[in-house]
Amino acid sequence: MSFFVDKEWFYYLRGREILLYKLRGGSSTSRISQSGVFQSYDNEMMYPNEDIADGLRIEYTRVSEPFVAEALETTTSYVSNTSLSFQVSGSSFYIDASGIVFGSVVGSSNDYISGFTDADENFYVGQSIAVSGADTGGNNKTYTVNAVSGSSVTVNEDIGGAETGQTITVKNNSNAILGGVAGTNTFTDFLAADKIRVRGSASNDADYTISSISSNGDALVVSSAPSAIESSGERVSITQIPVEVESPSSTSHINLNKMLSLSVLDYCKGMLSERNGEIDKKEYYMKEFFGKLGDNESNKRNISVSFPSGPFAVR
Amino acid sequence: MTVLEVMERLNIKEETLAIAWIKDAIHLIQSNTKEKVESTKRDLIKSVNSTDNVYILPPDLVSLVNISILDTSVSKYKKIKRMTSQPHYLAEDASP
Repeated sequence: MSFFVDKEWFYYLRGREILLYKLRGGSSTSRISQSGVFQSYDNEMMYPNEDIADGLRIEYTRVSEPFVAEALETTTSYVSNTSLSFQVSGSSFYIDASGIVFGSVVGSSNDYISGFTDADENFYVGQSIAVSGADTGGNNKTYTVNAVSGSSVTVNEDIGGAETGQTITVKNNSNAILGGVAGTNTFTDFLAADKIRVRGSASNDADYTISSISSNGDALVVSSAPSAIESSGERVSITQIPVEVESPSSTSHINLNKMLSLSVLDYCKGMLSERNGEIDKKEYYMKEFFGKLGDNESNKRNISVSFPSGPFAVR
Repeated sequence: MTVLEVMERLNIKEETLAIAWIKDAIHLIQSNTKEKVESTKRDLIKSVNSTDNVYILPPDLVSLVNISILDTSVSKYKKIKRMTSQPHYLAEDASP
């Protein structure tokens, strides 16, 4: 187990390598005579003497995702609450031992499955579900949900026959993030093909790409599978992030804010001036470039000054 | 701002050149500021010889921000200090 790593560990940079060293513990002095004469040593280093999984963290800047599909200022969609849940394609998200009822109603797309606890937290319009565990022939199949209420769902397909009392298992055929309450328009700010970053979940923090959004805006169908089925409870936030363009073209956006984009423009003007042999102009534009970099940094700093009141200050 | 907007403001038609200049500018921005900071983690291994304490910097690194070690007693990463010169000698150098 490692202790006091900030005091005992050191690094040395050698070219593109990091060399790690650890301070050797123990006393740096020893008594060399009975009269109390001490000999002192320099601090001695040694190589790391333990295995630590993910023990070394390197923070650095790099040119990551220089071009994106839309302007950075437009990637503003955001939602955060404690009612979000996650469903994984092919995994059962609902198992009921007795209370599920299959009911048939005259007409097309009117048959229902009822008896769910909090159906509006688990189902959404357009959801493709696979039902198993039914006893009546034809009830075990894939349904598409066309309406959701507090305890039941109406499906497009005809059920095989009326039935109750079986242990029913329901699986989603897609990967989805549910808003928690059917028809609440939780995700209306998001669009298909948007990239999102999930934080705060128990086991599904990751970046996802939205394949589609339910018609009521209460569920996101995502292209990659969440790590695990997760019910609501955690404070989960979903933030839109830019979609990278790996092969940039003239329509691609620079993945920077407006101020830094203008500084990039100054840099390009500087390079153009250099190409034309106008070095004085190049120097002017490079000064503008670095000036805007400084402006951008100072824009992020809110400086406040506080003055302590003197002991004889009149109040 | 799109690449096309940059090209129009520069009055140039070479798209590839504009993209290259933009990438150079972003590289310079990342070199001078911390606009986007990435993080990577590696397993620390017990060193049995003098090459085991060597770790390669990320190949796409532009500027190093800091290096931390996981303090397993409190499960937190703590920044460690950089030495300006390589140690002259090590205790138990052959097999620490």
